[in-house]
Amino acid sequence: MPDKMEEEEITSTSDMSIAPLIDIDAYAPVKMANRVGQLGVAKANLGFLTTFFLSVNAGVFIALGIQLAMLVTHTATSNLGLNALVGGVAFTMALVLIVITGAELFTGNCLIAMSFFARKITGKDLARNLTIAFIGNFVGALTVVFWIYVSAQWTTNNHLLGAKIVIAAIDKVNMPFSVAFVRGVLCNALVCLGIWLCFSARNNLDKILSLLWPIACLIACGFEHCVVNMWLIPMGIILKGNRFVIEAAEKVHGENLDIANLTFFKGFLIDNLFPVVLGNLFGGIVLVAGVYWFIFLRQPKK
Amino acid sequence: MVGNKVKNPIKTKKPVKAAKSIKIPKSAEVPKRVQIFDFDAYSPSQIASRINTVAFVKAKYSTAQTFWMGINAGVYIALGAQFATLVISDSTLHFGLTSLMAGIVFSLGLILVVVGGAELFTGNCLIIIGYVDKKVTSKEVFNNWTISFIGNLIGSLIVVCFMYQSHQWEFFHDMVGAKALLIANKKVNLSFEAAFARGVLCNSMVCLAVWLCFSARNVTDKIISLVFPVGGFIASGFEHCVANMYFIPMGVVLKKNPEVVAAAEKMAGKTINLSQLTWKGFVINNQIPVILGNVVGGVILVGIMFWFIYLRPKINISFNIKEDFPQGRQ
Repeated sequence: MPDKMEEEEITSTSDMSIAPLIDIDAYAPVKMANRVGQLGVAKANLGFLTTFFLSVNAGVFIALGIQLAMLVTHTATSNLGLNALVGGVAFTMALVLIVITGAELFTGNCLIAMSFFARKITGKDLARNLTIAFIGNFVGALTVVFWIYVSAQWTTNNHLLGAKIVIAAIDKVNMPFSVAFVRGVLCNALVCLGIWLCFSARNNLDKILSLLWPIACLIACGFEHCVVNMWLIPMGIILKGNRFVIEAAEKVHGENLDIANLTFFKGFLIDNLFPVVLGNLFGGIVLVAGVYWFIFLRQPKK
Repeated sequence: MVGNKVKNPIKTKKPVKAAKSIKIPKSAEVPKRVQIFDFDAYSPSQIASRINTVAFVKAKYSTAQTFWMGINAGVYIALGAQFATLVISDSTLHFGLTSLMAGIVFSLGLILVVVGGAELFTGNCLIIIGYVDKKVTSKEVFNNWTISFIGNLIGSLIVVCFMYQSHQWEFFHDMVGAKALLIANKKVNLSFEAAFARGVLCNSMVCLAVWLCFSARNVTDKIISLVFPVGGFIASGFEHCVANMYFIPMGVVLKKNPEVVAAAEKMAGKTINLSQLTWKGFVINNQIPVILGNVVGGVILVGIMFWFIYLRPKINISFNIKEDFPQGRQ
C-alpha cells in the first residue's frame, strides 16, 4: 500500500494548483504529529532546573484549577451532573495556563513518547523528563496545599468547602485497584487528546476551545488524574484533623464517615497514586502517543 | 541525544486515502506553501521577552502618564467589582455557582485594563522582570508601583463616590447595597495570615492572566485567556488589593444607611457585627496584609519564577519549534 501512495499525492483540497501562498490554516493531523515529535525532542533537551521549575508551575496550576472546581461545586444538592460540568469547565483554567505558559505536566508529557517511538529520543530521556515532571508537579501541588490551608479558604460557607474536599478525598482513597487504574487510563487519554488538539491550534482561542471539551469531560466524569490527586488527597489528610470540617462532612454525607484510610502512605501513595499513575502512563503513552505515532509517524517497511 | 541509528528527519506517510485523490503530473509545478508571516500565538519564551520589553517601556513612562493611567485602572477594576456585586446580589443559585458568576462578570475590570491600557498595581508587579534583567532601575520600579498604587486608590474612591450618588445600591429593595455590605464585612474580618495567603494566591492568578494575554494576537484571545484565571480568583474568594479599594469603602459608606443594614441582616439571616467595618479596619485588617501578599505572589511567585525559567543568563531554550527544528515532510 505505501508504494502506491508515493505516486498519488493526496490532499485535502481537491485542486493543488490553487494552494495559497501563505498558510494560515489550522495544522492538519500529519503536521500535528510532526510538531509533537519535534517538541518532544525540544523538551527532552531542556536542562534540569528549567524542567523542574516548569513542572512546579504545572503542579501549581493544576492545584489552583481543582480547588476552583471544588469551590464551584461544593454546595450543589441537585442537578449534580450539571454542576459537575460547571466544575469541569472551571478546572479547564489549569490546562489553559499550562498550555499557554508551556509548563511541564506529568500527564500531558506522556505525548513525548511519540518522539521516543520515532526513535528521536532515547527511553532514558523520556524517563528522565517524566520523573522530573512528576516530582516537580508533586512539589507544586503541595505548595498550593500550604497556601490554601493558610488562607483558611476551606472555612468558606461554614466549613462546607472543607467537607467537600474531605469527602472527595475519602472516595479516592477507598477505590479498588482496577477501578483506579481504569479511571486513570480514561483520564490521561482525555488529557493527552486535549493537548493533541492544541497542536492543531494557531491562536489562544483555538487552544482554549480545543481544551475545553476533553478537560471538562474528565473532571465532570470523575476520572483520576494523578496531579489533581496530589492536591486533593493531601488537603483532605490535613483537613481531617479539623473538628468543624469533619462535623460538616458528616452532616453532608449523612452517615458516619470512614476516615481510617485517609493516610499519606497507605491511603494516598499505595491505594490511589500507584494505580492512577500506572493508568495515566498507559492511557497517555500507549493509547494516545502510541496510536498517533503508529498512524502518522511510523516508518514504512521497505 | 539523537541516536546514530536514525539519520532521516521524521518522515510521515499519509495513510488516509481521500475520496477524490488526484494524480499530479511530474511536470506540473505546484506552488509550495510558505510561511512568510507568523500567525501563531506567541510561544512561552517569546511571551517572556515581550514582557521584558513592556516592563522597560512602562518604567520609562512619565509620572503624569503613570498616574493618570493608574486612575484609569482603579476606575476599571471598581466598575468590574460593582458589576459583580449587582449580578450576584439576589442570586438563588447555590454558593459555588454564584461565586463563579461573580468571577466571570468581574473580568470586565481586567479586560478594560489589558485591552484598554492602564497601570494596575497588581499587574505591574511583573515589571520586576525588567529589574532582575537589569533593564530597569530599582528607583523606576518603586516609582511605578507607588504612583500606580496611588492612582488606583484615587480611581476606586472616585467610583465609590459616583456609585453612592447614583443610588444604584437601592436596586432590588436594597439588596445590592446589602450584598456590598456583606462582602465588605467579610473582607475586614479576615485574620492576618489568611488575608496574606489569599493575597498571594490572588496576585499569582492576576499576573498569570496578564502573562497569558501577552501570548495573544488579537482581542478575542486576550479576553478568553483572561476569563479563566480572573474568574477563578474572584470565585475562589482571594483578595485583590485594588478590588478591595472599591468593595470595602463602599461597605463603609453604606453602613450608615439603616435600610441597607436591615436588608443585609435579612439576607444573612442573623444579626451582623459591623464593628470592624471602618476606615481603620480597611487599612489595617485588609490592605496591609493583602498588599504584602499581592507583592509576594506577583513579584516572587510569578515574576522571578518566570524570569528564572525563561530569561536567566546562560540559558538557551526555545519552544518555538518552527525555528529550531527542521520540519518533517509536509
